[in-house]
Amino acid sequence: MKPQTKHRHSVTLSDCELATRCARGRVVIIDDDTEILSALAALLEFFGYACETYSSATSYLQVVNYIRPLFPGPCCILCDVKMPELDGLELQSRLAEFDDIPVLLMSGSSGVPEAVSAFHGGAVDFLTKPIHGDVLMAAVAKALAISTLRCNQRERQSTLATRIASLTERERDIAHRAAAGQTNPAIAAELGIALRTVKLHRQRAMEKIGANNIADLIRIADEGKL
Amino acid sequence: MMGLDIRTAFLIIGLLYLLLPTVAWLVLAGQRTKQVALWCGGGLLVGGAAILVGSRESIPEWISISLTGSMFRISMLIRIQSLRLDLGVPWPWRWVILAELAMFLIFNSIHYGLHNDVLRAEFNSGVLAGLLFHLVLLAWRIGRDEQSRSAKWIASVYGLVATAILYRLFSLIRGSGFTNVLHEGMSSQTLALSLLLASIVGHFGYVGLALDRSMRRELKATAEKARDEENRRLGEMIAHLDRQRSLGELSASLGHELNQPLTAILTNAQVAKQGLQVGYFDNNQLGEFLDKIVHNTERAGHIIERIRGFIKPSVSRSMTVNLNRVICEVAELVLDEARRCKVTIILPSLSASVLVAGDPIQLSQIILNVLRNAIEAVTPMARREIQIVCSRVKSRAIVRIYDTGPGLTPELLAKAGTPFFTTKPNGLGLGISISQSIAVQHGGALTFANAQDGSGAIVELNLPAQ
Repeated sequence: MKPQTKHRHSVTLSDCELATRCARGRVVIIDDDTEILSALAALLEFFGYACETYSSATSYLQVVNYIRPLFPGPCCILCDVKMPELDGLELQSRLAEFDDIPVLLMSGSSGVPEAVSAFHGGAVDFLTKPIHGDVLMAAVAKALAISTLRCNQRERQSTLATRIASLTERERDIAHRAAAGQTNPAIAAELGIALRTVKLHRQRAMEKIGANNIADLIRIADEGKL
Repeated sequence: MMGLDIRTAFLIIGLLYLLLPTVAWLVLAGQRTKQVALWCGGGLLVGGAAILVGSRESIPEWISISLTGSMFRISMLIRIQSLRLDLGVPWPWRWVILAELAMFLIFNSIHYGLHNDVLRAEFNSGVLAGLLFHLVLLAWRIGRDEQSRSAKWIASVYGLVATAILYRLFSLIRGSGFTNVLHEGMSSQTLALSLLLASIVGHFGYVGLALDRSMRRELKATAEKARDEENRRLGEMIAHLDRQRSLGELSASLGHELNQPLTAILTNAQVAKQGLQVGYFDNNQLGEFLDKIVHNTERAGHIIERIRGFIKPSVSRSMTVNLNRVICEVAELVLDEARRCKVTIILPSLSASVLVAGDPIQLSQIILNVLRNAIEAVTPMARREIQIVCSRVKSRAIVRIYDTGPGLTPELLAKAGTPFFTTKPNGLGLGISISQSIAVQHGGALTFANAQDGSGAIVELNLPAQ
């Protein structure tokens, strides 16, 4: 998958296939051994995933910061621990600064300290080479599921944020107080406005942020930092 | 007192002294040294002189008196010189000649100038007794030093002759002796008897001494050879153990190194198998997967071959070795360790060949030990680089290993290669010392230095090129 510079280009059959693959999942494979790289890519592609291969962590870091058009879909990284220059653990910690992409680490020697620091760094799984296909597929599926989950969560949060942004100052205030457990009369008394006005604003706010009842309102207030 | 006809006795003694040194010379054919030649030569001179004495009445006086006197003295002198050479304290030949000249002058001036036969006989007896006692002393010292019974026999029998001559000297002084040694008398009889005994015991004793020595020499040489052999065998064993230890320490990274091709093999096999079940791949694609499996299997086999080649208990053999190849093969063993420590190793090009005669395993052991030390040295540094340069300068093959480590302190430079000297907490301190002895066995040297600009250490392996 190359970064594409053109704004428009005709949709080809391979694009369609890639889009399908990406929808299923995109796996970034990083290993300094080209043989392993191509074998893993073949295996993952066979199972219908899209693959990007990099022979070093630095070459991936160079690409990851470019904004490049990508087909939507979950994504994870499968990376070797022992590599010259930048090793897998360092890549993991660098990525953690700006990305929440799930990372799978693999290593030839099952060093306990390595595995511990991998999990501390937030790795989804730590695989020992040689990796059995079933184990790899299960780990990749798990990582992609986490990616989907994070993606959905991000999406929900962003819609929530736009909804919250559409509230007026008064509506936000009243929704906030309602979520905090104040009754309508108490809010009216505190703000010095009519009870009817409070009810109206509260009704509008709940409609705008898509809350059906007070429980929804409280949850959204927690999640969306009302 | 007519037990022995003195004239006949002297003739017999003369013949014995001619015969026995010749026999001794023939027996000692294997170990003829300057000392043996002098001893036998001295014997022949005595023989000649004794025959001349025995036939004194029918030859001119200057021969029977002057010449025989000189012959006796010279024979004693060169026999003394023979023993002194054995003991390692020879007299300068110049002094020997001067001494004989002086004695010759005194002897002849007494005889021809003073016409004093008694004084001449006394002088001659005194000189000969003195020389003989010196000979006895020397023989006794050899007997004591070498614990040789033969030498002590020689000393005893010549002691007897010397005593007989002394007895004659005292008879002369007392006036009861005769100036002519052939005159039948107690002193002459004793002298003749002791000479007869000395001719036999002296020569057999000398042959015994020489044989003793050669046997001891052989024993010593055999023992030395056995010790050398033992040392060589032990050296090989130590070198082998060092290789095993190195590999033991490298085992984790070698395991990782082996895992790489195995991972590729397993993954490729799984893709092919899965694809085969659903008919996903065509034959060409399946062939490609199989090719990859074959290739990676060879890769794994290659690594195992390296390990086995290195660990093989080898009796050192000498063959033509391409140092560049040895270096590249050893580098494969430390490749993973270098990768883990993020060290870049710059190898010489495999296309060039620098040939030496030696044992490939032992030579690779040197390179491995040096390389591992270098990796350890550069690991804490910001710039981690090791460069190996292999070249041929005139008749020498030179491998230089440059690293970007902190270099060696003067103390390290002085102590590097001392057995059991180590800077590592769990090191044995044998790697470099073993490497150095291997280099020396190959007629070369392994030396350590720091770069002129302080950019690290330089290890040089210098071997005779082929």
